[in-house]
Amino acid sequence: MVTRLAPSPAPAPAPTTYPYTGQGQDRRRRRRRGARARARLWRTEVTVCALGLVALTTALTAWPAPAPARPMPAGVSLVRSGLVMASPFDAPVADRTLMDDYAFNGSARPGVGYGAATAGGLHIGVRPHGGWAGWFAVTIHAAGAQMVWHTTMARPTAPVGGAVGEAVFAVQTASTQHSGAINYAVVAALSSRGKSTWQVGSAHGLVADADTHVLWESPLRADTPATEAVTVRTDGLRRLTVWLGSREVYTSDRLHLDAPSPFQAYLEVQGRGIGYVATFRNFWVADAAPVTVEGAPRGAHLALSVGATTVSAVADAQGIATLAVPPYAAVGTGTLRVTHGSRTQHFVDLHYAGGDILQLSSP
Amino acid sequence: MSTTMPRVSEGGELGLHMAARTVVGHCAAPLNPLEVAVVLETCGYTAGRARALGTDGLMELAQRVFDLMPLYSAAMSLPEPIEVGARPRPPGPADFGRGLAYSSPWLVSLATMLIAGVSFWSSNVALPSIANAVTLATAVALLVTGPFIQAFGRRASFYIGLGDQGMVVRITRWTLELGLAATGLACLVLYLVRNDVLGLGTPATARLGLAAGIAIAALQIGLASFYVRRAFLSMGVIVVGGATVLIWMVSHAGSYVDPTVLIVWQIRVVAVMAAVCWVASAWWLLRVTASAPAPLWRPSGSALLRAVTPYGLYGLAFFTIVVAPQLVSGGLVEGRYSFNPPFAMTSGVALVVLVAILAQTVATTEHLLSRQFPGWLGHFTVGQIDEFRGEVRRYWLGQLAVLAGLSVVSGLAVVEGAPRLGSRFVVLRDLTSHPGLLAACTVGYLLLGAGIFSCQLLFALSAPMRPLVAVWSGCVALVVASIAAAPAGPTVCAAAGLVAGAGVFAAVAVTLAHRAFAHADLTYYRTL
Repeated sequence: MVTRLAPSPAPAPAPTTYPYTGQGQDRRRRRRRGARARARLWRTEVTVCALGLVALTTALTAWPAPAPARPMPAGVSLVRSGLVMASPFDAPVADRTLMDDYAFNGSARPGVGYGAATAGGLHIGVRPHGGWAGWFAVTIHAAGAQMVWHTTMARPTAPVGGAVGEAVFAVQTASTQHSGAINYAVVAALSSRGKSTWQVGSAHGLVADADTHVLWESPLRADTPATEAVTVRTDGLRRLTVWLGSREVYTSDRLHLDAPSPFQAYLEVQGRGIGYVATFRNFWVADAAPVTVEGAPRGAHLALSVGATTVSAVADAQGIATLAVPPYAAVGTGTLRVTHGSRTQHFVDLHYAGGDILQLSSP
Repeated sequence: MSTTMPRVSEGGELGLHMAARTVVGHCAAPLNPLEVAVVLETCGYTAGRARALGTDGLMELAQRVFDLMPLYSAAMSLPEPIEVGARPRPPGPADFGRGLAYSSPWLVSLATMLIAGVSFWSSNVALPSIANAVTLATAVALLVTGPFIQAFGRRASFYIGLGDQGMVVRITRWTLELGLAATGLACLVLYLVRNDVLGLGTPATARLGLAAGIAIAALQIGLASFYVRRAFLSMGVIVVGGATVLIWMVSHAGSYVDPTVLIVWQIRVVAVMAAVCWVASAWWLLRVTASAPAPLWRPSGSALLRAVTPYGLYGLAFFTIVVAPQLVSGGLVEGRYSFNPPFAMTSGVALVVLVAILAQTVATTEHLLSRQFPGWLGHFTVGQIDEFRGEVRRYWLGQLAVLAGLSVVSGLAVVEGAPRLGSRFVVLRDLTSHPGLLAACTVGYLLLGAGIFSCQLLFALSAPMRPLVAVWSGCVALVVASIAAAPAGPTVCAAAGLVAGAGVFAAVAVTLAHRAFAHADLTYYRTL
């Protein structure tokens, strides 16, 4: 008999015991039951968690709206809001909350410049120092050329002696981020030597030290009002209109502003040789367009009353009426009266803004 | 009737079978003839004895014995045998190019930054409060995910190679998923401390930081399986897709990019990229064709932990050296943190030197494992250990010289070239005002690269404890140097910490790697 020893393709039988494992059985030969189902379950888990990750991230990154929500009276709903930014500054706001909407900066050294929102308004100030120093709050968000910019600005009533103090409200091109240009339109309350004046100007500069060109100024007097409601509208190119209260103090469409939109608002203070503070209240930015009311009866008379001012319109065939509120009153709270035939509806405490589209519900 | 009996001598087939039994007694399932040769030589099979068995030498004997293995070892699928005796070429430009693919997410991120001024979690338009929150979250994400990614990288490829879907799922759960959960928890703690205890930052940026930490960690961890599977094309598609969205967004934002809108969408894009990575990993990259009989014993959790701990600790310390200088530059030594733009920008630019070094590291490591060592094993026998060690030492020194040359070129390119690009790219505008800082950071990252290079080669030699010693030495040096330089201000302090930490890391790692290569032996192969 010839026994040929050669490799065989057939696998050798597996040993029956596995002494090294101590378990006496070959788990390698045992199928893992449900392995496929478990793997599929794991994949489904991962997919669900991945979707959850996106949802969680989206929720956590929701940034606070720059304008507060406006409750509407019964029967009116807000279809489109024309209010872009709004800070009433009529209640204390924590500094860290304030910084969700504003950034603080300036030429003043750390510790000299400060900003704080109290029930009395947003105070932007510089503590006593030598030379010129300024501090400002700038809106993080920007808005375009079709907007109206408004705030009630106040300077201290106390005389500043030989020093100089200035409260400033500026509408500046936001393209500074890319171009370094610091071109802006400005309204300032300037005080020195016991007298004060309100000025309107435009400024041009690159990175720092803009030169201001005064376009209008009130007489330098001791009894100049310390507080004014300032409203600015500009396209950043040729046009600039400024209202103090309801009075249009300056308008021109022949300027060379070189301040391309969008714009940011600067709420600012400047002081030379003294501590000084500017106070701002009722800051808002809204669309310059009229308030549009939809869903009114055809031919109905609509009137919006805000204090002593009333604007009115007649609803057209589609039931649409446009209420042309003046720019200095583009944001406010009033009463909307809708009269059709003998029936009159009143919508009181209507928080409106220029550019709003309001929908009246069917009576 | 006649009976022919086989010749009972070592020169016949019986001798081969005896040798096969001998091999199986020491190694139940040798992977290839090389391993057989190592066992045979260890058991006293010299070249003369191999000739007595009718072969030309030990390697041929090993080949013939290996052919008999199916008779004696358990049936299992064997990998392709390695061609013995071949002398591989050193790593070349093609290997270097493949190595560059490892840095592709980073390169895409840098390109996006240069093109659009923004990247996945950084931009040149961020507000201080946003920058503080996001950079802190990024630091936490890097520190916490680092150990888990290292551990996953080490073990997952092993189980993928074995075709054990169950273990792939298990290792993913215990490294990647646990890592994401740990990072989420760390970011939540950071959020609570900053927002509720210290009242730092703003409410929205605190939430943003939490989201950024989770999204960045999810993306880093999500990309781990792409590296393990070398799915660079798919990874490139995802990263380039995210970058394209960002560039499109910025280019359509007009002259003003609202920093809040930008960061919100940056983080959301990162989260979507991370989600895509995770889903692709689960349904595709980590899907293995499981062999019906389970091919191996499943280790216990504690055994798994012991196996991955050195790699995890290495990852933690390594990312500490990378991240800590950023935190120190923000005033960590003084107990505060505020984003330091000059340091972030210069160190971010200097970090570019690592692109070439990492590519070379990957090229050398993969070449060593897949071609060089098998080539040596096919060429040398255990008895030729001195010649073998001489060859290994020459290889190590040669690769170190290549790395040094690459470091000099990269370093000079960054120190000399980056400031000149300042006029072209807005994001690099301020580089010219910090040449000293740029040089210091460049030196720091070059040293860090030398440390990474040495440690990766040590990992390739299955010597994880030595990199651990090196990287933790670097950490200690970083802390000491940072504290010692504290009076000079946060920026100097951070640069000193980076250079000292990376320097000690590099010195210890290179020394230990040199020793490891000088004492390399052929039993190495059994550790694979």
